[in-house]
Amino acid sequence: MISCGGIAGCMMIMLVDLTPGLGPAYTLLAFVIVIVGGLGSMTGALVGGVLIGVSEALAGFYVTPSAKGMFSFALLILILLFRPRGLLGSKL
Amino acid sequence: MSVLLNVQSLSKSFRGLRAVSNVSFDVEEAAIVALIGPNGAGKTTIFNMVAGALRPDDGAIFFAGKSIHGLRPDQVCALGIGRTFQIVRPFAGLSVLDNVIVGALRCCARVGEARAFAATIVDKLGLGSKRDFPASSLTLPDRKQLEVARALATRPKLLLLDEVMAGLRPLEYDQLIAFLQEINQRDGVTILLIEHVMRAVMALAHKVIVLHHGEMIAQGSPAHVVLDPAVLECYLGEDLEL
Amino acid sequence: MKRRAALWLATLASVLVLLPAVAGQYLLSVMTLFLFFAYAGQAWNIMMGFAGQLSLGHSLYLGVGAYAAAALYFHFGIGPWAGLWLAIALCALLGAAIGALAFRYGVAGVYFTLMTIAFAEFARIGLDHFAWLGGSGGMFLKVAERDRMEVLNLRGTPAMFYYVILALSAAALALSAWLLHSRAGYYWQAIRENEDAAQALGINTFRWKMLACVISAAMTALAGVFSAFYYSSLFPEQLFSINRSVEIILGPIIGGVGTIFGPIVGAALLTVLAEGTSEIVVAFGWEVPGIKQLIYGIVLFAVIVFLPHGIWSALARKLKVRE
Repeated sequence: MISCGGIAGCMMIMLVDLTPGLGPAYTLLAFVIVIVGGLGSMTGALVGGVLIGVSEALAGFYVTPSAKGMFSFALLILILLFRPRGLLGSKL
Repeated sequence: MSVLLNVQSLSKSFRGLRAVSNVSFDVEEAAIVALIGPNGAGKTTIFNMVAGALRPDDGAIFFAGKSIHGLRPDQVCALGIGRTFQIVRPFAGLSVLDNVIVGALRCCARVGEARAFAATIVDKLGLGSKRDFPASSLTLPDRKQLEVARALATRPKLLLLDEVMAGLRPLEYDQLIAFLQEINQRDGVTILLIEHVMRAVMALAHKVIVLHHGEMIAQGSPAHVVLDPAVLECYLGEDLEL
Repeated sequence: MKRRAALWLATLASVLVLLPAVAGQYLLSVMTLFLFFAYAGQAWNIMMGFAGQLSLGHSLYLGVGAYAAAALYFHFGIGPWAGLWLAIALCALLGAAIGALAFRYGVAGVYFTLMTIAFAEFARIGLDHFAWLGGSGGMFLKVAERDRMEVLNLRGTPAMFYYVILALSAAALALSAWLLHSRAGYYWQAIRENEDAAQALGINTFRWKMLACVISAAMTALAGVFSAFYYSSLFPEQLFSINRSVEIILGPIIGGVGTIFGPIVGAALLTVLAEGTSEIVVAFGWEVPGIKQLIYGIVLFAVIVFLPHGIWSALARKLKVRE
């Protein structure tokens, strides 16, 4: 699992600038993806990842790029309120 | 004697399993009624429905003539029903006295009043010497006493007691039996209790209701119910502490 | 026993009140920072320590409070003594909204905490793009001349700010003590310990949890207002940052969540450690960026492992003082 993170990090560096402080932002994003996709579901994490990634990119395109995070957090709040187990998660 | 609690055709299922099936009974004012039956018979589920912790699938519940179907637990308590939990839920980080003060605050407007009232209840239930101990340090029988004390502090008209005798030594349950009789006769508190300790049931109850697999199979006076063949059959193989 | 506690408090109070007369620039600023976190920690403690609702997004209220008062001053020339009411109102409303949403839909535990983080982050990014409030470049308030005191506009000497935050901390202490021993305190602790049992005793847990959220938010708003005028500059990245939320909770956790003096003791310890290590590092001519965070982490770890109820509980036992 941790090695997956490592590989993802390596691949990302080709797209994003490297700074020591970039970790926390992605940690939060990971939380959002897992909750949206559904805890306990691998498919959910995949679906969540794609969903968040695409919507952030779209939001970034139609609104300001730096504001795309707002969309993810808004989505997280909605999921927490109306479907806490996530899109594909198992019933709590 | 007027009817304080009236339960009609109560039913509840969990994931397809019928926990309570079409149960109806009355609890008269100032009576002590016992709900007995083997484990899994649905007794605590009925308590949970009366206390507002669970929503019935079907049926009606009337308390003092008012429908309490669908009310929240705190609303049910405000109407005058106090309850204990089968698996005790003390406020572990608070002292014994503070636990009871929380209950007393329902009727006492000021903390000072609540503290005084709580202290008398704590003493009556034999926890006086432990009043400043954290609830987490109590033994299980003491925690059960604390549950009773706390529920009593809300000055209920109807007290729902869920297996409060479990784990007590004979001397202790004689004391508790005497205490319950006192609050019933002197203060008019109506009591509905779930019990496995038959000795307490025989000594306390005016009426006994027997449940088995979610259905009521008998009701009547203790002497009558204990001789009922249907009751004896369902308890066959069970260890009855008489 | 009560006399002893009163004596300790009185001594401490006099030291704190007389400090600016003897302290230098640096010590005063450190003490101001300590009192700031003591105050913010106490505000957070009401929601978590008393009512048991973990919020990791309290920077939201810091930020909203700061920007509300600052905007009124910057754009309309309205001073902070009026502006703070807007700050309190906005944050109380926000606290109520978040609480109502969460409790109505049964969002509890970790999920509730995540939600508080989400709201704070949402606000952070949002305000980064809000040009009227300065955006990510920040908002800057006019600084008064060195020795001129404009209490009305909270422009003035460091000593003035010190006394303001000292008064706030003292008020928070009094409020916390009063609340803890009132009906609210008993009900909140009951909810914290076992919500189902609390409901069975007639407590409307929704209403009481909401109250804790609103009070905590409103109090934190004042910390925000103070911060805006003390630093005279506001940046969304700093005010709404999750790091700020974490800094706020460190004091109470280390000092003792749910106690009255815990947040103060915790804030004191952390400030001493942080500034102490900075001084030592500088004295030795080393350069260790991030040493502060490292020390925080170590202390937090040590406290959780050895003194999970916080330092104050252990200290109080030693000093034979009861809250």
